[in-house]
Amino acid sequence: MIANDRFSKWIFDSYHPTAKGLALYRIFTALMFLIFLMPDATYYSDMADFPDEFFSPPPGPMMFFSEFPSAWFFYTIHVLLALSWVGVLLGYKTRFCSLAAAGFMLLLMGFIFSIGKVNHQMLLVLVPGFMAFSNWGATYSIDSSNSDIKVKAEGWPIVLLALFIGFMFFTAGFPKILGGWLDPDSMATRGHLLNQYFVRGRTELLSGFAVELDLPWVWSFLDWATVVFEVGFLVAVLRSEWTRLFVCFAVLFHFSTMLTLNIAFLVNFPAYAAFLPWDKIHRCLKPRLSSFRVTASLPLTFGSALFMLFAVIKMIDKSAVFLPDNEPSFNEVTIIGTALIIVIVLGIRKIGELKANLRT
Amino acid sequence: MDYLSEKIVKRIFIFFLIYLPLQYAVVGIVGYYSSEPWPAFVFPGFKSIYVYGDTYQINQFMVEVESPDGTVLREFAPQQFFYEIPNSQVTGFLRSNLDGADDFEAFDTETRNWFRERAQALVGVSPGDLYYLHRRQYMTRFDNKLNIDSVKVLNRFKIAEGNL
Repeated sequence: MIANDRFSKWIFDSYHPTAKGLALYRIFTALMFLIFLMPDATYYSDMADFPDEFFSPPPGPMMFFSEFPSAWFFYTIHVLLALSWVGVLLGYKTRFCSLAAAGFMLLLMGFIFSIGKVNHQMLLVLVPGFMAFSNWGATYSIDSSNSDIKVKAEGWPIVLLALFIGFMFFTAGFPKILGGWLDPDSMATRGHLLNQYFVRGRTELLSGFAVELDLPWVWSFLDWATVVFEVGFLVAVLRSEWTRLFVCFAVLFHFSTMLTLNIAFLVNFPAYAAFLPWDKIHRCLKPRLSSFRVTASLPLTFGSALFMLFAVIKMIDKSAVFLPDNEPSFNEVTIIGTALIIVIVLGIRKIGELKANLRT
Repeated sequence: MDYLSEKIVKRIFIFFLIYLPLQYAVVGIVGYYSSEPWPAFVFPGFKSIYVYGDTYQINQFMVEVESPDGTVLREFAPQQFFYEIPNSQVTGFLRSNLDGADDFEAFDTETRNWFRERAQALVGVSPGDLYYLHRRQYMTRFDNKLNIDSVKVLNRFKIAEGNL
């Protein structure tokens, strides 16, 4: 009985999002996908032109296909995916569009990964798939303006998302233990750095400095820290505070791997953003925007500002003035760098709150 | 009702709590005998270790383009030869499509033509034979710098014959 109560409490009481907070997250996520996370459409015609022999689907449903489909098929799915995300952005048939976005992304990824290598980007599917059930289209949406029925913002999809993130990190950490990462002499992180630097030509940012760094204790510490973080995430999903702390660690982890290994996992960031205090962000934005006598509604102002910011970042990225080799891209450096700043600010505020609590 | 009942949500959680470890086990088994299945809810393990004391082993894969007289015209890193494939997928692509082969006869005519046309576009002249090369560099740290100690060719085989 107690276990059942705890289980229910974990599912239903871990997160209490507000409809307005979730709506801001919906707008943020839709713009992130539309501007930064859509598959590269220029690759579709290349894929369609590959010899059939290059079609090497991973074990699974893609084995039902024997070759890459023609380019128009990819373009059609790409347009449908974009339209689904526009639907999510505007909050038009939000649940259907969210599920459609998940489905179309899954289909495109299936073919893209049939070149013989699976990339681990399932969070691109899970975020719209799970958030479809959070009622993130309950307000600031076309759906809400077409209906008088009030729907409740649900927190359990965020718990489910946390569970999947935690489990997926565990699957990254567990084989490292078996593979010998905890052996102080292995310096596995350094081995991967050298592999990325010399074999894959990932030589941007601080990678050159890291290659020359000859401090074994630093490399051993990084091996241990990586394993503890990745395995520990699964335990952290049991409490929302721990999950948020580990999401902060994840941002730090991705930032450091981007600087040294030049591997930026931007695809995970919309999922991490689900754990931001969106209701607080909403409460913070509302008076500020009204004090500037902004006539447009809050979501329109928020969405427009975010769109312009993202568009500028994208344009700078496309101009190839900075980081022309695209590994990592200007997009990735800017957004992951901003995420790190947000984490630092939130951390400082949290420490301030804890200090104040201790005084009282 | 617009949202799912608590009972159904709890069942969804119970399902995934059972499903996630099971699918991980399947990923491990299928991955061991074949390759990583998809879709799967896993992150990359990066379990391999490349460092042994002060010695580092770096595997290099190259595509070698010969001129018709048999001299090496140019060597291409996979990222250069298969430039449209995202960098994150090139190594996996080589593993799936080239590592298992040992001769150009492993590829069909369409694929061999594709290799030839790609080589011609990159070098600007009609190429001779094309080879896939796997070599290992051994590096040691000396004078606070990484230096190449030795290079060993582990495998070299023809992936397409010159213009017929």
